[in-house]
Amino acid sequence: MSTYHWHRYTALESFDRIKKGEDPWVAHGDFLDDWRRSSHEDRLELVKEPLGEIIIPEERQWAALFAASIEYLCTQEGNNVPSWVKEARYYLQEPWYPEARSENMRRLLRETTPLMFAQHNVFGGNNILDRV
Amino acid sequence: MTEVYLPSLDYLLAMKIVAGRRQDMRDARALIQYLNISHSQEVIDVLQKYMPQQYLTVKLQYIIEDLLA
Repeated sequence: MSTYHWHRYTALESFDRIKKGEDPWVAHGDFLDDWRRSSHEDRLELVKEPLGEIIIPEERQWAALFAASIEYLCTQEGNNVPSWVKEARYYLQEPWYPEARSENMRRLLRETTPLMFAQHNVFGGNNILDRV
Repeated sequence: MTEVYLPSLDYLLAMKIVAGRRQDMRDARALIQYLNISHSQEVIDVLQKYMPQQYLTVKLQYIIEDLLA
């Protein structure tokens, strides 16, 4: 394993930051950054543990986003997808359009969201994992 | 002496809308509020100042509508 001179946030830790009241987009973004800054062979280490307990409905949405992101990233890179991301609790009952306020935007997000996110009922468009 | 160039706020707004990521939408909403913009045409006018017409797509129209919703 490579040596890292900063703390790399795991998915579990990142989700805990959200549960503690931190900005969810910052926590999710930090996780994405740490994933991408890690050597390919060290990335699965960040997602091996399932997310913590989901208590409030809003946490379920973020948990679904994390699960979809991990499934997408692992698949894209040819890594094995951790089995926990496919547990029922990481699939939303209702579609979620993060921060969309208009019907036209929701329609646009439905049309552009990658299938893997849509399967989790998270419709964030095709740039939801973009950081720069 | 070091000179620092800052983009104008309306230019920043145009860049945020074109980038169109979730975090950009938050910034764009804050800029719209700060610039006292209340109609979509005002945002389109800003975009037209900086962008060729062919890049003003329906997608951008939807984003603008959503920002003002």
